Amino acid sequence: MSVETQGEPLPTGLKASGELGVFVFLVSEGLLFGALILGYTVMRLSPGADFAGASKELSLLLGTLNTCVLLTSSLAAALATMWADGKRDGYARIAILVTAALGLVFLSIKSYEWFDEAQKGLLPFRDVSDRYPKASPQEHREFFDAYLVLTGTHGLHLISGIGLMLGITVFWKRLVHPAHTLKMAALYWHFIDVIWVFLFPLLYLVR
Amino acid sequence: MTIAADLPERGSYFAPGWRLRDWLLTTDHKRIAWLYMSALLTFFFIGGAAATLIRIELFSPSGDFMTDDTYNRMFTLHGVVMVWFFLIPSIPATLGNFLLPLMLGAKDLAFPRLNLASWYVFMAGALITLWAMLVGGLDTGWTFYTPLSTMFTTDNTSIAAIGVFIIGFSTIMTGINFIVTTHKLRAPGQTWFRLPIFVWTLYATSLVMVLATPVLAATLLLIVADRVFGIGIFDPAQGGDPLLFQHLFWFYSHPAVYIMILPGMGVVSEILPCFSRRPLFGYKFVAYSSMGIALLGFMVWGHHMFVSGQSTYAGVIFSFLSFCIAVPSAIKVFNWTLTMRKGSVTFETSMIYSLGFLGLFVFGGLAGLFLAALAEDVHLTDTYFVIAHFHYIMVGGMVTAFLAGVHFWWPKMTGRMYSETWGRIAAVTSFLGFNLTFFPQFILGFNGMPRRYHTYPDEFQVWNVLSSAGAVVLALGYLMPLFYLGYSLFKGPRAPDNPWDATGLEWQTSSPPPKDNFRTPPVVTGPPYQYELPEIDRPADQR
Repeated sequence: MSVETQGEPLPTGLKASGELGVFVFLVSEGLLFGALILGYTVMRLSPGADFAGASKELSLLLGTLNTCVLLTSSLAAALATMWADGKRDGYARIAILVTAALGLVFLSIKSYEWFDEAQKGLLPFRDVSDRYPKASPQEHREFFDAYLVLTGTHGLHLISGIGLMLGITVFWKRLVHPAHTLKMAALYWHFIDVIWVFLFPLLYLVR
Repeated sequence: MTIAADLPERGSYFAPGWRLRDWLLTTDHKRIAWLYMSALLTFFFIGGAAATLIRIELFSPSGDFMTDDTYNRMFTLHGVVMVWFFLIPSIPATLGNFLLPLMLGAKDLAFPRLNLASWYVFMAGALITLWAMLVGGLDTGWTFYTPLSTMFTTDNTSIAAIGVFIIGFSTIMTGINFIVTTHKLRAPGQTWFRLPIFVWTLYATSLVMVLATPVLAATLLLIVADRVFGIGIFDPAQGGDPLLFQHLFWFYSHPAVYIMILPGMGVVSEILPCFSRRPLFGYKFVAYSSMGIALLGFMVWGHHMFVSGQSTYAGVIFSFLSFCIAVPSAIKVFNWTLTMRKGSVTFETSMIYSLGFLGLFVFGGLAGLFLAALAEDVHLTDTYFVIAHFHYIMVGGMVTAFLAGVHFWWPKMTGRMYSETWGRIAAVTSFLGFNLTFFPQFILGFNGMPRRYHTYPDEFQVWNVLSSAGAVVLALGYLMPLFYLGYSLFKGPRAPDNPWDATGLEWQTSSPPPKDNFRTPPVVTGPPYQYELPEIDRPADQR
């Protein structure tokens, strides 16, 4: 969205505009997750609830694995940016592919977790046997409601991130400033990663 | 069509094509401003029609015109359409879109395609919400309060919430575009403290848009998730907290009030100096107070919840902070007033609107102090006093400022002049009609008439009849510009480049501006508002 040339280069520079735009967007995104995390925190801190106990139902192993996968994908994205700046386009495009692939691995593991939890009747899907009766006491349901909203919103962001990355590597030759476009997409990717870095301890580690 | 035929030699932005695709696929910020303008005016009159029906119903104490259910749907339609389809985008998306690059000395916004995309996203969200209104409507009011919106009302609520959610994206896109443009595309010499106040207020507005709208998005997402999946974050039966909804909702919706009013303040800050022939008094104070309002606006949401059961201590703090936010607003009012002092004041149409804004904004703002007072608010919550208060700000303030701006920049936007006589008549009519409509509602509210009911006790009828009569006058005042501005668009006399002798970069280019805004890149060498009094008004020793 930044490569809007108006016939001639803008006096203050195209790169700076695009990056500032992405940063402002990411601040906005931060507020979106901020509101959701606030909702989670309010429920967690409400007195007398056995809300936090429900996190024991989550798989710490898969969560940790997923964290590693996502952090590694960010490394690949950073390498891609570096190589693209150094005009080593071939390496850069492969690194982007690796980034997207690791994103897909993350989503697969996450989907398996969701599937597993749905089988146990923990997730709030209305039509599954009288509203997930196995999640009890009530606070456990609350936890899984918040869990699904948080990880679901994060997952949706990841899907758009994967789309972005794949789009860049496929249309690399057609982009006016591929390295610049990649850098902005990478900023978004790192942001999704950082969100997970907050979600992982909040949901999995604080038991 | 005549405009295009008349203007090719002047290279106006109208000239390069009048086919539909030249408008629907344009990335020219000036044309996108017109796209927004046509959409917003349509929505304004839809919302106005709903308001008319409400006033007809309230003409008599009994519910003889609509059922209570229809009435609930009417005020929801009025609220949702007016807030999200008119007030939030009104000045930024139309005048702001048109003027921001001109005032900065830029060719366009930083992201022209994003700008066009924001219009399409806006239209998509608006049409989805309108569809929900048409297939049965919703009765939650514009606030979507839980548990009503999650557990009891119709499924149209989900559709409308998704529509408003989508509109939020358009708001954020506009906000990002304005922030980046203001940072990066200022002309040489156009430093921060040489920016017109209108740019400052657009910048402050954009910050609020970018920071507050995502919170609304998250909140609406949770409502839809509740209705569709049964996620019970706001559902007390499942251990959720309905009050959390109110906190999140007002964390957006109170700053949103400043999204609506800040650009109006900016418009008035341009017009008052021009028709007083005086520099804006205390420029830096006005600039900083815009930022102060944007910042403080995030810390006062709890004053919507004094009777909702939030902690009393929180209530005290929110009450205090709500009084605090009156300070930057008051600074602006004093500065505007002092700008006119010893000025050479003339009463062009846009000046009359601006003076109307000043009076109505002060009145509405002072009424706000009653509502910020914790104990008094318990008496006034959910009465017509609240309705009157925010209509003084939103309609008396914002819509008046919008009309002031449209009249002020009309010659620049269209290259045509309009009838000053009709303009003045319309400005005065809408001022009188407005006061007749909404002043009685202060009295009604203070005497205890609650909002959102279609019937009321007989003793309230006198004031309600006055209010309904005022609404007729007000409607007249709002319909008049449609005719004389419409006439001016095709038959009005040609406008000179700077009909008001105003300062500011936008007046240095032709009327209407060429496609790239400026024929030669502008350079700014001095502060804004360099107005000089006409000789006859200057003190004897300075003539």
